Amino acid sequence: MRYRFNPTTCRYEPLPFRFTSVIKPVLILLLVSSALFFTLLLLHSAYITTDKALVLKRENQLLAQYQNTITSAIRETSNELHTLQKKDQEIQRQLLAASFNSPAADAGSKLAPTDTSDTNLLLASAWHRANLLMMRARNTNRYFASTFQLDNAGKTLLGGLPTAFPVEIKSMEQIASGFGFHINPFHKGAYQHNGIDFIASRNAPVMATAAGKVTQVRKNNLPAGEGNVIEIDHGNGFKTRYAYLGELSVKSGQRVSKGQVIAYVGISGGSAAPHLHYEILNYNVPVDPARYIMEDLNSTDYAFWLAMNKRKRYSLD
Amino acid sequence: MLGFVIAVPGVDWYIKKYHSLQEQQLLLENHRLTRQWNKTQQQLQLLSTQLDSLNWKDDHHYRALLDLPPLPAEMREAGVGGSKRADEGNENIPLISGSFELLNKLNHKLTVALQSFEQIEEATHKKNQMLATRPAIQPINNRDLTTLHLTFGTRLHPIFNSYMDHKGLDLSARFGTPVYSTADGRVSMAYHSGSYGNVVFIDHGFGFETRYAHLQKFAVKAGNFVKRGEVIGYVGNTGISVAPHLHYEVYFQDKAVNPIHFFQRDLKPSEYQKIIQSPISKP
Repeated sequence: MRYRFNPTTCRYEPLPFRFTSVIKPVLILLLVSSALFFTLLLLHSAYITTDKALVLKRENQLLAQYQNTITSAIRETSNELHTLQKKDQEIQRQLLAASFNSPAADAGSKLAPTDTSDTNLLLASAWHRANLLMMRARNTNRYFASTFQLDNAGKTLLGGLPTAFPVEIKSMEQIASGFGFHINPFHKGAYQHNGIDFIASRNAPVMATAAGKVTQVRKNNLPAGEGNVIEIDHGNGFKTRYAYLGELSVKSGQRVSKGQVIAYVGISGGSAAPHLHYEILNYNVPVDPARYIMEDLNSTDYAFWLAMNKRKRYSLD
Repeated sequence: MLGFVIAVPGVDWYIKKYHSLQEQQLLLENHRLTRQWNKTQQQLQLLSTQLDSLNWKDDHHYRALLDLPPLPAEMREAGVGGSKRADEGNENIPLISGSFELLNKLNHKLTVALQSFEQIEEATHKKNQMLATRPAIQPINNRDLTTLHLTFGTRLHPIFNSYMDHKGLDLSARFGTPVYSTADGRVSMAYHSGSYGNVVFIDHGFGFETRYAHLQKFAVKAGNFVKRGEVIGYVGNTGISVAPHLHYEVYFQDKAVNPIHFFQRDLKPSEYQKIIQSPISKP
């Protein structure tokens, strides 16, 4: 409370309370103390180096110092890796006449819309078409459900279809060359290749792709022709042939079940590398095995599998 | 005075809570550097994955194709034994030591991979040679061929009139028809023999030899290196022969084998033309 002498009343009268009279000293105090705060803070950082700061400083110094070392080292390493990748490409070209990864890239580019400006229109039309297709599929399914019945004969037919892989597949890249025209590795001319060549290492097991009876087992030591061959009759006109085999483990006339190991991969006959040459014959006419093999493949894999089979490369026999 | 009373504990509190200005600056720098190092590590990991995929192909495709056993994993992953490291004495900063460790591991794997690829390149080269030296085409163009006598094995000899072992195939063609080498190799002999007439022997290595007999004249000399599809002579009727033809033999490990297995009969005429017009050079 502040008082003021009033000459007329000859009294000390309390001044009316004013906010500014309080705020001023407080403000000054705050101003001074904050100024001091900042000065102190600056002085502190300028003259006092804390332990933590020392550690940080050292760490930063090291980090910055070795940054350059490691960057240049990495550049060197990645250069070497690049050389290796180039060599890899070259070896691929020499061994298989083509790169491993091309078909997937091709398939991708075909699916992608070329112009993005009318994406909405495209989406709308795709949606419409998808709906139509779904409707049609539903109708077709209903039709087949009412008409299709699997009797015992049908079951044996399906069971005898060679739908499995004859060797263990670790990656689709193992398909060296599919059915159709391919480049002969010996004279580099194009010729009709009636089967699929699977890259597999020597002594990898070869499995029967369906149950059946072994109709032919032929051994041949000549480094030409088909080498060691096994032929299996699956009934219903289907036969499978496995050529350029190594060791054989079945006899002619023997019954084999699906997945049974019948032989091991080898390099017999006129083959350029250890591989399995696999053929499917329908009434003695070679058909594209890619259209039959579908086990353990989802639709994406299957599309990829078909694409891999279409590559024109060196065959291995 | 009162200002000090407020400011000093304020500064103290501020420093404890938010670090000193210097520290803040350093921390900022530290964050920046750490980010860079993290990026570096990511880069290293990326390189490592790329290398791993190459190694996978190496083991599963190339080595399978070249009939080489895959490299054992412990050889690829083998530790870095006692190599001098650039980051010595900085193990207290895990980012640095960790990155260098990654880099060292990567470098080591890369060295192994490079050595492995060298082996593969060598094997590929050898394989290509093997492929080039395997008899694989017909010695006479189908266009010029009159008859192919499938007479490998025992047959009635037209001159001696008795059953004799016939070790090759007879390809009938007009006088002067060019005879092509069926694979790369070295002409080991080109001379006139009583029975073979003018004959060319080509040594292809890898256990293979081909012989071209009853030639009219030679186009090569002994010691010449020939490519597949190169003209080595011309069809004639020299030696024990009744008509102009080429007698073609294939020997594998000193045993005569049926040359019919070494023709690519499904070769299209245009493809054959391509092969004989420009004898394949090694790829």
